[in-house]
Amino acid sequence: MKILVVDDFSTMRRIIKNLLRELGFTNTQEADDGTTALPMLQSGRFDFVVTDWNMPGMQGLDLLKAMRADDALKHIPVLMVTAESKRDQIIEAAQAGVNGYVVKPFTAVTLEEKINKIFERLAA
Amino acid sequence: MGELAQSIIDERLELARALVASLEAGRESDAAETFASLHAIHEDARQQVSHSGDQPHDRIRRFLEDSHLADIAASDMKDAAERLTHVIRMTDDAASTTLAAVEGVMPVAGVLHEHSSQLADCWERFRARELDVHDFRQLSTRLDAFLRDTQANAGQLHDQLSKVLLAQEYQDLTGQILQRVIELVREVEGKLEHLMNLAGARPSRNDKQSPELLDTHAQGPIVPGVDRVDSVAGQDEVDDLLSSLGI
Repeated sequence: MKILVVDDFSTMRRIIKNLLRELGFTNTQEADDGTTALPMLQSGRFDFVVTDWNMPGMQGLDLLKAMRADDALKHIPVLMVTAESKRDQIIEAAQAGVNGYVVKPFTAVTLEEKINKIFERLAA
Repeated sequence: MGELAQSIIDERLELARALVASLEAGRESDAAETFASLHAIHEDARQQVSHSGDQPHDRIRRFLEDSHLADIAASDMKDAAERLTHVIRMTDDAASTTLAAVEGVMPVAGVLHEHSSQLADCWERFRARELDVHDFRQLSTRLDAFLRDTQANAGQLHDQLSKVLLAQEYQDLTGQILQRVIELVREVEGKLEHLMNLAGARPSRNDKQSPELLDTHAQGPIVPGVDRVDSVAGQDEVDDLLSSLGI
């Protein structure tokens, strides 16, 4: 299970990596923006993406849309972990094909729940 | 500067001549009176001249000169940006230090948990008299090792937690820096308001939402009391919204 963690703040990437490690996911890589994440996704074989929304180059929502528009990437589940909490934003993310949405600040329990839920759904 | 009315120029000259005459003739009280009149006319003339050409742009120019807005534009704002960047750097460092301490010590806590669980199982069996002598010697040895390791591990935990404690000092320091920037923001706010008044502009009512907040573009964390938007209150509401959308 290879996971890509995308966030422009290195602190947040570190926190998420640590939480993922606690959950047993040790094969993780990082990207600091949608613009750096997309090429990594296109050339690597990632199974899961955890991404922030508010990033300067390419926002998380646009990364999601780009992934869903790419035949090679559209199957990869995406979990948004973000401070963006407007109803309209959540709806837009859902319509763009996000698999889960966690608002910051979040807990380890919440992250675990949402990841498990995504994989349960996929397995079904 | 505007021009003085000719009548004022004439009157002033007349009074000046009268003053000289009174002084030369030693007529002190006349001189004093004439001097007072001359002074009054002079003040009036000065006032007229300084306000006669007074358009809004003159008042604005004067305000810009007097209010140090030039300084604010040239250096204070740049300083403010630098201060805020420094705050980001400080919070980043504090977070890094804290995370390093946590990453260093999580495995230690994990090991403590694991070994103590295993020992507890063994100890249970000992209490239930299920251990033979050989097992008991093993348990003894493991207990020794565990107690020694735990002393070292607990010490490490303590040290790293102290590091975390100290790393929180950034809050005080960044708070102080932010206060200074807030002061500058308030100062600029006041001056801008004054400028608007001078220019005769009408201040807009401030309780409507700014346009950017009405669309779904990213805008960072919602600040309670400042951002008035239709947002969710927590993860539970997100979950409800998503399940209503079938996710």
